[in-house]
Amino acid sequence: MRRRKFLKYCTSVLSSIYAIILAVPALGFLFSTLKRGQQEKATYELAKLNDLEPGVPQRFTIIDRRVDAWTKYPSGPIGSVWISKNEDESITAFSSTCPHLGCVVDYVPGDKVFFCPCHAATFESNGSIVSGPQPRGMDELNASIKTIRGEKWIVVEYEKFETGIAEKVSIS
Amino acid sequence: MLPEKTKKWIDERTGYKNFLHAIFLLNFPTKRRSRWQFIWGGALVLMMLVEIVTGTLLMTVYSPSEAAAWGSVHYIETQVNLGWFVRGLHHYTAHMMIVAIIVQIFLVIVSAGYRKPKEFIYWTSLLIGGVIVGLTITGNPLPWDQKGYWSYQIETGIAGTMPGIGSTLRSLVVGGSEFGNLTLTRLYTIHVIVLPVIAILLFTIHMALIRRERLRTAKIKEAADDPDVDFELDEDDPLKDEITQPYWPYQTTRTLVLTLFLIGIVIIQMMTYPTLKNQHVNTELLEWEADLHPSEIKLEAPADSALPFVARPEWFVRFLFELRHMVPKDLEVLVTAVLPGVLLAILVLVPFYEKVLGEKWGQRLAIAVYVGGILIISGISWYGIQTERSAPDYALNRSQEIAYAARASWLASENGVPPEGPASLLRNDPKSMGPLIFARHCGICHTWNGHDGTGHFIMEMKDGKKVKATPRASDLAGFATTKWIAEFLTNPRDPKFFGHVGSLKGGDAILNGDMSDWADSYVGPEGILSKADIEAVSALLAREANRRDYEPVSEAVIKRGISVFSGQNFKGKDGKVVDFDGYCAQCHAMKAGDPDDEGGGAAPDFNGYGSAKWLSEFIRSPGAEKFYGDKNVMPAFEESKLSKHDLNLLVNWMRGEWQRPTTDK
Repeated sequence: MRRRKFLKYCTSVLSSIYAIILAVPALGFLFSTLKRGQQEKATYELAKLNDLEPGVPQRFTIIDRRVDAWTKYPSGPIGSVWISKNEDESITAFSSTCPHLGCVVDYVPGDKVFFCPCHAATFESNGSIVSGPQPRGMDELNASIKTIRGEKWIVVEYEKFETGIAEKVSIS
Repeated sequence: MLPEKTKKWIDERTGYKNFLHAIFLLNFPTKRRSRWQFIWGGALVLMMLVEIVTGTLLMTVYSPSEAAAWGSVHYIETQVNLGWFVRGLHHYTAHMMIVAIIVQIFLVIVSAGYRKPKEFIYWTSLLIGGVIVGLTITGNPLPWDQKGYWSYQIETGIAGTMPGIGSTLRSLVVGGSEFGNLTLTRLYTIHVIVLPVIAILLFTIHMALIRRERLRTAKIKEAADDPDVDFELDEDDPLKDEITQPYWPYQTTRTLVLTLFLIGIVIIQMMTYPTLKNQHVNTELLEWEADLHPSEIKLEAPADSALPFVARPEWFVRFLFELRHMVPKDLEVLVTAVLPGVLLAILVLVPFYEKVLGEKWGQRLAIAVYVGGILIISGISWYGIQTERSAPDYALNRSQEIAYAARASWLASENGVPPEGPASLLRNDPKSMGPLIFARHCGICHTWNGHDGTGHFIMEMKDGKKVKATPRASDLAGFATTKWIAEFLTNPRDPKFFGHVGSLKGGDAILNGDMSDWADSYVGPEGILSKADIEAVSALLAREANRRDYEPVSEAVIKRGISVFSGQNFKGKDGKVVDFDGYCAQCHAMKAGDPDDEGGGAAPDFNGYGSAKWLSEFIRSPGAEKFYGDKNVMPAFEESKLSKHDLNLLVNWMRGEWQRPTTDK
């Protein structure tokens, strides 16, 4: 019976090696494809400062090249931002992605609020919550003014954030 | 693990212990004798499990379409953690399984595993072997690289020659008459669903049959050994020698040892030979210098019928491919359809040999036929591979294919795969396409370092022998570099330049024309021009081309070049200003060489000489007034002959302009 025990012991060692040969690459393989795409923060020159009317947010589309796993697409829309010029010429930029579930937020000029049509999330024009299911206010993006060839341009640093949570966490 | 009580509780309600015992063959009786012989089947099952696991992993990334297949496999190899390991394991284990099947069938024949009542066990194992071969054949083209694409072309071509059903069968597996997206989706469906399901069904039947046979043997033995049962086996009954023993753990250990041994070989092979084979070929041949070290090339170039590739089938169908070339065309169908059928029949009919010849000689015949058949098939395959390897252009062609593979991989890593598909990586690359365009359009007259751009030589028949053809025009490698121009100016009659032009109609006017006369008069020991003068004017001209390999020269050299070109302020060998009436501007126009811009008209215009624009214009119309005019002997390559796209690729390649690593100059 000692022989039988020894063989049983051998079997479990050998089958563990077999399982490891399969399991280790399997985990490595799966986890590398499940991880989020490494999104890099990039800045975009979106509009001339003088073209904006103070107090009226305007939506701009972000155009960039997009890499989807192995395919690299030529330039196309990857997202959009709401930009408003304040009375003191300072700039506020919001991601147009609703922090609730990621729909695109509209602006209602009459009520001067941002409104998400999916679940009626409503935001003040400064981005804070008015009403609705959203866990946080609109996601503000870093915006600055840069002088290019004598003209003032609005430069926005575009990034995406996790939706559905109270904290603003960048996806990158 | 679970406490004994819980296990008992579950077992009473499900009977799971028995179930597990059945599944893992824990209570499965086996022969005690020659037990090392009966583990190949078990190893095949464990290897199939490896294929299922790795295959499922690959399915999470792989994408079966012309535009995406190659890119997704390249992504698996380069971006996914341990992707190369998973794909390599999948690829090589499949081949190892075919080896294991060949061994397994041999062992079955040797141990008479086909003998009554085990005929159906034998036949199902043959069928499973066939399905595994089918899985390998349908799996190899999936990356849609040159190798898979071309070997599948051959394999479906062979299928297409079958009488009657051939073309229908081919259209069915190809998804139409041409290779394309439907070929891939069909291949994929066959590879991941159809064949695996058939394999599992066959395996279930196979195991059920084996179980039945083993349990029956065990019961008979039990009865024979039991003194209370009135049952005796005949003296010569083979069951008499059988001692049954449970599979677990006696055979399990051995099966695992063999499986791990075979997978170990697979892993070693994978580490030393990544998926691309033929790394023994020198990739540094000629201009086909690879962009990546061969060990970094994971895939052949993307499938593209426009790129040269020597098609070869998988090794286990190689003999059909070779035989097909050995027989006359009319008999092809014998090889491609009849022969495989005969081979199959020989194997299927093995159980019946003994009916005719008796057990002893029947088995001997079966062994002889099997071993003999395998030796003949290996011999034919080996002969074919040796013939191919010793073919004169084998190393050159293979190095070209590897260079394409390296270039495509490098471009894909560098730029990503464009949405229109991976084939455009090379189709828009001057380094890859330039030589092919040169060979097709220019290589008939011009040469490139003596060959046609791709490393091949134009051949012609002379006295019944194939010999290297004599070129008719200049050798263009290094065109518009200082060195090339200086060599030309020193001796325009050299075979590298105008030497062969005389053989063309009207070419004598160039060979023995003004340029040659000029060299006779002014260059050489007696000529007024020194070596430095020639080099200076060459550098001045090469500056117009501004190739990436142009090395800027000092202002003094440029000044000297200008003095030669314009004839003004020309200093002789003693350093004094002398009259020079052989100045270039008499015939050639070039603002940079002649401040007064007086010359030109009689010979090609040198403004922007050798630049992309100049070269394109020249190739489009060499007989234009600003180029050779009436003296021109070169055919014009209009849009209808050479598209704008191809012209750009050609010109950029000639000038050495293509995407390079940024660390490179």
